[in-house]
Amino acid sequence: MRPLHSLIVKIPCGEMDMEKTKPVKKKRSKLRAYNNWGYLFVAPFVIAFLIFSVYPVLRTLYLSFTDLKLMKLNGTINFAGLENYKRVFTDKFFGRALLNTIIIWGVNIVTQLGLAFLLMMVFSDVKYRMKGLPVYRLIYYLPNLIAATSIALLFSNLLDKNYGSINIGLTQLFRTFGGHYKLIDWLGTKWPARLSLSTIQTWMWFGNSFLMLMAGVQGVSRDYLEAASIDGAGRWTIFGKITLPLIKPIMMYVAITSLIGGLQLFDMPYLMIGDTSQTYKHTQTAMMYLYRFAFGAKTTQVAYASSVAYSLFLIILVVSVIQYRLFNRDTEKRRHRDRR
Amino acid sequence: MKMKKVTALVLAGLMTFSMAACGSESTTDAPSESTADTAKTETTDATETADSSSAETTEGVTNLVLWTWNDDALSFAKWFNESHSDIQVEAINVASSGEYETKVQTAILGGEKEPDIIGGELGWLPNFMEAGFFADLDAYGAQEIGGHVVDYVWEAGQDESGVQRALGYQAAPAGFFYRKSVAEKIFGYSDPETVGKLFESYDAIMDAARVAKEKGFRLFASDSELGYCVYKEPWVVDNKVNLNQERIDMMELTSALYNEGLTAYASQWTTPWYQSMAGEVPILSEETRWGTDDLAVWGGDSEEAAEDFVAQAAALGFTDTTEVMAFGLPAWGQLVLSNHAGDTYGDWGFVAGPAYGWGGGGWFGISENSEKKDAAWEFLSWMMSDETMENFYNGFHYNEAGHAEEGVVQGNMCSNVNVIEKHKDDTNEAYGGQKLMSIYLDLAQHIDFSKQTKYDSDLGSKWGEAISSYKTGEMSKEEAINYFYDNVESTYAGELEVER
Amino acid sequence: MRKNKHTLGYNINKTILYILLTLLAVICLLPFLMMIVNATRTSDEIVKGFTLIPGTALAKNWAVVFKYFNLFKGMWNSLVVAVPATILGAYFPAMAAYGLACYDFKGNKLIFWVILIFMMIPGTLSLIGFYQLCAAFHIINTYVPLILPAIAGSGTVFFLRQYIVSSLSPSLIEAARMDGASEIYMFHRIVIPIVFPAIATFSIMGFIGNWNSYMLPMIILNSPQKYTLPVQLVSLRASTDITQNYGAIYLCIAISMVPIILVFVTFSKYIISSVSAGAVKE
Repeated sequence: MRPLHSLIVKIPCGEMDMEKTKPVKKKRSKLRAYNNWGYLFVAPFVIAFLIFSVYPVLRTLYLSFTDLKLMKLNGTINFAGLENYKRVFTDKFFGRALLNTIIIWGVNIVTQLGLAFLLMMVFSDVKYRMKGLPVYRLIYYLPNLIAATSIALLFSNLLDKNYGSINIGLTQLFRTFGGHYKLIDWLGTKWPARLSLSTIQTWMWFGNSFLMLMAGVQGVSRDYLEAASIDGAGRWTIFGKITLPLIKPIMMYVAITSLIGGLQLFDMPYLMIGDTSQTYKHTQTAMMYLYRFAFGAKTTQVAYASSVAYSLFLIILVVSVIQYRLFNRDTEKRRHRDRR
Repeated sequence: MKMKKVTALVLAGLMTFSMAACGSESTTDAPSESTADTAKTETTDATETADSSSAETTEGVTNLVLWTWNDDALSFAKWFNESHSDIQVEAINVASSGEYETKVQTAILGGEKEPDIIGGELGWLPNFMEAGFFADLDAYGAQEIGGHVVDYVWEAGQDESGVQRALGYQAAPAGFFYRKSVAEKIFGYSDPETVGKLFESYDAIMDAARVAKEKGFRLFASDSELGYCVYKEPWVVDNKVNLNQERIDMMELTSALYNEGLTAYASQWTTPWYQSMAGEVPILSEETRWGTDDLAVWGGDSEEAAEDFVAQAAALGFTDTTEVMAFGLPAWGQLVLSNHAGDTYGDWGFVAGPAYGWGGGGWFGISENSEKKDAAWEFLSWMMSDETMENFYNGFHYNEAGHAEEGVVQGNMCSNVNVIEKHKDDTNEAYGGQKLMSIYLDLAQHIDFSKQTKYDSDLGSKWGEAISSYKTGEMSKEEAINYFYDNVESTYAGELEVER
Repeated sequence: MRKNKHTLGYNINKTILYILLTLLAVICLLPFLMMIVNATRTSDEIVKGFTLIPGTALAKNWAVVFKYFNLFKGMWNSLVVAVPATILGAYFPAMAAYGLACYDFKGNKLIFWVILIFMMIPGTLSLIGFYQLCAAFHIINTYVPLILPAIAGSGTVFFLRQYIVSSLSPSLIEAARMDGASEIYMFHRIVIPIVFPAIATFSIMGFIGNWNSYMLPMIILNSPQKYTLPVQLVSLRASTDITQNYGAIYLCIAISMVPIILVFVTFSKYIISSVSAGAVKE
């Protein structure tokens, strides 16, 4: 998939100011003749966009209302109405997969944001004035850049029950202190497997969240904060009155992008826990479920896979809106109060 | 300055791109050309023999691409290439990338001209055929070959309307391989006729397993030994899922073997399992029986791994040892045994199981998209010929360096009846002079393949999942059965009926 | 206030914080360290004990890896995909962004809003349709589906548009226009240099994204000799030749990470600033 997610991540805090553009255009309105050049500049992108982005999305939508089974080009396609969607919402295994995804993502987002938040507090603290941010953030961010495939293979080796270095290391550690470590089958039992996946996700993403939160805080210069502190504002007051409101939209932004990415989690569980494993049913994600119907041999049901895709999208949409509301509730209330 | 760099980069990009575009237009034969051109580097990949642009027909040589999931076909292709100058086959093991079936499916449905020859396991064939991947072989006179191919192997290569679409080179009737000296120690006899009674029915097998344990031995190393020998009643009858009593009995049996400690707690295809073919193995415990590798042994079936395994088990306090009597495997299992028997070589016998089962084997067909079907047929008919099969029987294969090696293991069960008939009276020294070929042939001829459905292999693995959830205590019997039904319903909604 | 006289408690707390931060950094790096150490040890050593002291089997493992896997081939393939995709994914979206930002033509707004909507749509939705599209064009098992869609990088267009609006003064364009510069010339000679920092940032991130991509190449590519590095790496999981040698597996994984780490080391400034400040604010 295109790294759309990684691109979105780069919005500073989701402000999209359209206003700025207007005066520019008005000034230029007398040069209307030149404006037709705009079509030329936009054309290659628009053509590619229509072919590679718009068409596939609409095609998938269309397929979700049909009964197409195999990915065949010239196969007969019959309209099936809402049958596929009815099936999705009564499909127990889709429910299971969705639940797995939400558990793995949920644990991850709490720890990831929590850790990022703590780090942000430490580094933005006006009293301690911690140094070394450039080095620390480099290290914290590093795991985010490595390919998910490499990470998945690395951890499936490190976490292996018998020959993985983590269990071997723990055994040695316990032995040194005279204890006995009962081997944990990290990837072969339900909860250790889910938590391992969450932890790896956190490990990969907390640096990213931290950088984004830090960016929000650094929007305000330290001088400003120091001025506030000299004016007698305590560090908790500064934190509550200045820092917190600043990073709130960013927290929301991180949570929502993480949700979009998290509900599409695929590479890691797909590569780390195979379908012959007993834990597969506890770690199969919604995306893996979709993949099985879209491309998996024997179970290919393209139309159904398409409706699973759109159902997943609807779920993401609903949860995003709820998240947005939750984050904005206080702000809206306050605004409401102010107006009165 | 910066600008120049950027323009140069952009230009380079555009050029690369336009080159790619032109390339793919001019060579309709190989849509891969363009990229292969730009990526021409030395390839030392073991599986790659020919150049990546081999699909091109040059100077009267037709190059075929064959996709396979096992190494037999690699040997076939090398051998074929040595004896043919007009056709060259490039065999690629595509399975290394994961899901072989998915790879084939995306390639053929994507309109790819390659591969020309598609390999497949039994469980994959019905879906390949239904999707129309395989060309009609009858048009090439496949029926002529049909006369001397083991019936079930031949039938497996037919689609629903009886058109021949794939040819299998191997027949794999299943039974039990057992160690005579261990049988002697447990039961006091070891001749195949009497031992055969121990494997007549599920009840007999359970009794035998309990007796073996009482005497300090184990009938089986793992609890999966019955997998190949069950009667394969179709999984789907009149669009209904057929979870018959026999399958539920199997579940109980597997669970009992596991929970009563009637096995050596090894898992199939792991070091302890291989090790139990060669002699004494440590009896593992409840704790270590989980997972696929019971102890921290690496190296699969190597000798080092075996030593390592024994040493580690001893270090962990598993000093009690036992010997295992039997392994339930298809005909090709004898190769596995011969490779791992070690000192027990010659101590083996073979008997039939409670039902005529089978497992494994390989089939090849011609892709419907191929533009070189005639050449591909040439290869297939060569593969099925008496001469090739004779060599296959003789254990012909290529070693790592690519040199032909003969007679590594003799007595490879092939699908060619002429060859099997010829070797009917060959005695196998590893099996105390048993005439394995004639036994195999008899078993193979009893296999009833007519009721197989395309659902069988998938439902079989789903049921296997339920069985292991039950035996490990993760689910109760009821839960496991319901889980199985849920699983089927969610995969085949509107297609298969489930009656709980 | 008490700016320069720190109490003992203050110093202790600060030290503890530094220790915790460093601990976290160690945790971040530990898996990589374990990987590198294990890559220099034999299977036997790896299985029998845990250590962070490198072993001596690096050369042996290297020989095993390259006996079965030509990882450089995979890297080359990844490069063949990622470089054109990055260039196309920077040039055309930059062009479109300029068109949207500086020309007032009919449909401008519409395009902008469609882009915005599509940025919110997860890739999942297009996967199946995209595959069918590729099948219809007979470009399965080629690099085309992995490269061309980069032109449709709507995220890049959106952010570059914002960037251009905020950093390119319209008077500059108008002045050039008065001087008789052609529109194309202006784009190449005025716009690109000004927007270059943003383009560079996007290109680096785009390159990394393309290089690391797994799911699409896995679905699209069929021939092993065309596999990009991530797909090739996964195939080693199923390879019986190498799964018995853990040291070699760790070495494979380690090698697969080298290119990206090099990119990171070289461009860390761009990468960090792209994440923290975002292209728009630069």
